[in-house]
Amino acid sequence: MPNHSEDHNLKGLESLLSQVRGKEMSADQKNAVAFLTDNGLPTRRAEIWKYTDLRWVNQHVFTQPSQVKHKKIQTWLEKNIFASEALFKLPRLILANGQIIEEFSTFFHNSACELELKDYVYGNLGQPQRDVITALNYAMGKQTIQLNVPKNQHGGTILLIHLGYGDQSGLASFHYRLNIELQEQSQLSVIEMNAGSGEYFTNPVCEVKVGSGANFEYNKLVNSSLESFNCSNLYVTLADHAKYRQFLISKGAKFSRQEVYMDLQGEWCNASFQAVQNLHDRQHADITTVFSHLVPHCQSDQNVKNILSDQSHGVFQGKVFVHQKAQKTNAQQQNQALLLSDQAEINTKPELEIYADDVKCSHGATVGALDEDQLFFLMARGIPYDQAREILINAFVAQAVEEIHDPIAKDLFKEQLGVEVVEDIT
Amino acid sequence: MNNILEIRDLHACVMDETAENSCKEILKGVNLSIPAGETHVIMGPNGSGKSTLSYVLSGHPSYNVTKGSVTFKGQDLLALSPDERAAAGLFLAFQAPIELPGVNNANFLRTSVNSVRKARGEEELDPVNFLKLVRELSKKLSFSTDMLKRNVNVGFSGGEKKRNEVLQMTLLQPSFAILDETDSGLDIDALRIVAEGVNGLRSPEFSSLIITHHQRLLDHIQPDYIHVLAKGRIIHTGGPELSRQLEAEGYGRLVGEADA
Repeated sequence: MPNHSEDHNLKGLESLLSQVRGKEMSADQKNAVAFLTDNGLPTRRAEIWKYTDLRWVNQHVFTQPSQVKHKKIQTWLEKNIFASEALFKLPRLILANGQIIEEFSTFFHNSACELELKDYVYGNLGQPQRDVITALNYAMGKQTIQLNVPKNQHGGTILLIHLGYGDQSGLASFHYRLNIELQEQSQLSVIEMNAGSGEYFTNPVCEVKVGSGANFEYNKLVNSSLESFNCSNLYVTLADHAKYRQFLISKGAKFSRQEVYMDLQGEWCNASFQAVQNLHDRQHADITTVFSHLVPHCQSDQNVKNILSDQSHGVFQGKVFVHQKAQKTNAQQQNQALLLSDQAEINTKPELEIYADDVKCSHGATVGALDEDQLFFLMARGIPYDQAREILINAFVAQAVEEIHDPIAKDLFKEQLGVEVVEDIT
Repeated sequence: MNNILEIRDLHACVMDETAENSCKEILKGVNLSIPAGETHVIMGPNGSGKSTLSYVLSGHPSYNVTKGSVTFKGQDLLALSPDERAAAGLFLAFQAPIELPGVNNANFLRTSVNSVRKARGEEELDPVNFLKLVRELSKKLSFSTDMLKRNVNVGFSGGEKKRNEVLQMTLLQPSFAILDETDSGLDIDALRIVAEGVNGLRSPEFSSLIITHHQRLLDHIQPDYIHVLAKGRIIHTGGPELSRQLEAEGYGRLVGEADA
């Protein structure tokens, strides 16, 4: 029998929204709360949520994030950042449970990239009523981190770290907003690391505007706690001659959904999106992308690799939209999955929607186990089974990691994927 | 008796990928003894089971041994995994060498050599010593060092792939090598290089089993015996002169006699 005396203990989305209800809200926040109240959570009947189930939201009681002890942050930094000279030297911005930790952030003093903090959420690309993930960020977010790289400036490489620590009282959630703007002919490389422990929910929304001729590289590592939930939306616009390169590794989190909306708005711009999802146990990770070619002469390239062990579940939904005006578009999309267990599962859905007639667009998906002949060949050369398997898995991701331009990010990601750093011994 | 390899009444089938639990019998009672120091040749019509024999001996998982035994240097070869067979001294030069995209050739060679050395209780080679060794051998095989930098067999010509196989063989120092049509598709110079590779290993402790369709490799490697494999059995054994006789006559008469 349900205990009616506990009805005031709200669960799920309501327990989340109750944290802001009745408080003073901005117009965007009001819109977002209204949207969520009216629409609730999408179910798997919605096409875009067909393979990923948000039911877990309503199975949790959401709580306010607690303060993280500095000692905890310091210990993490010492082990993961300070131990590497290259990472240690980078200007860094540290967030713990959604809050900027100034004590450990060096970003403020030594970067060509300007930082502005606002104590509310704002943005231009994803509107509050756009979808549940963006709406949650508007409704619950308390702060916007705005990064600007002025015209012709080189912002170098900056390190963005988000640490999450759950506690026993419920599911703490963090909804920070990151907006990055590169003015014309500027450059910036961002390495983002997500890590933590315990059960929590991160819901960042990120907007990136890459100006005319500017060059942005975004290397993101999702290595959050294996008990955590992660829903993150990314909106990108590219002006003419802009270059955007992203590499995403998804290996942490119990549940992860990464949506990427890339608008190629200026002619001759170029977007590259490479991702590796390396999953174990019952992890679920979903990458959903929409690349919109809106003008002529642009190029995009998406390459998503999944390595799925145990009972893990990988999803890739990738859509390429080519507007009628976007002649001479060159768009390529590839999804490969390596299933290392009979119980692992991949759902892949490539979509092309093309209204222009002079374009080159391709997509492909492959799913398979390790190649038996390749394994046999390695073993016939004396290499034991486990090592032979490692070599082939390594080969599957090694080529992708080679695409990373930023040398610091490349080393870090190789280490994170267990890719053997193959020195050229010749 | 000083046989390095002793095959007794070997029956083996290949898993049929199109039908579940179906195994097609290819080897139907092979008997073969190879003493240490000897070079034996297997010839035979297409589909007679020559490559199956080489795969069964090296432990390919698609083949099942249903009957018989194989003793290699006194131990039960069939009980060993492919890597253990390599460590024990068996080497298969593949008819169609496998490509490994994303695997650097030099690193593959070093991992292979060190795995075998480790299993044999020998000291592993550091990169410097390994490179010295591999450079020396590559030179002998007219194997460009550029091929060490590339991915294993990816973009290699037919001749380069076969030379890569011979390089692996030379590095792993086997006591018994099976060359499965290593001569097919090779030009005259490459053929000579492959033959030199094999001849370079010849010693009282080294034996080989050469599978071929042609006399021309045997012009460079003098065999001790030639066996004819047909319909899954060895139907005839002769001396080095047999290959020329077969080239002139074909297999028809021998197969006919065996059937009778």
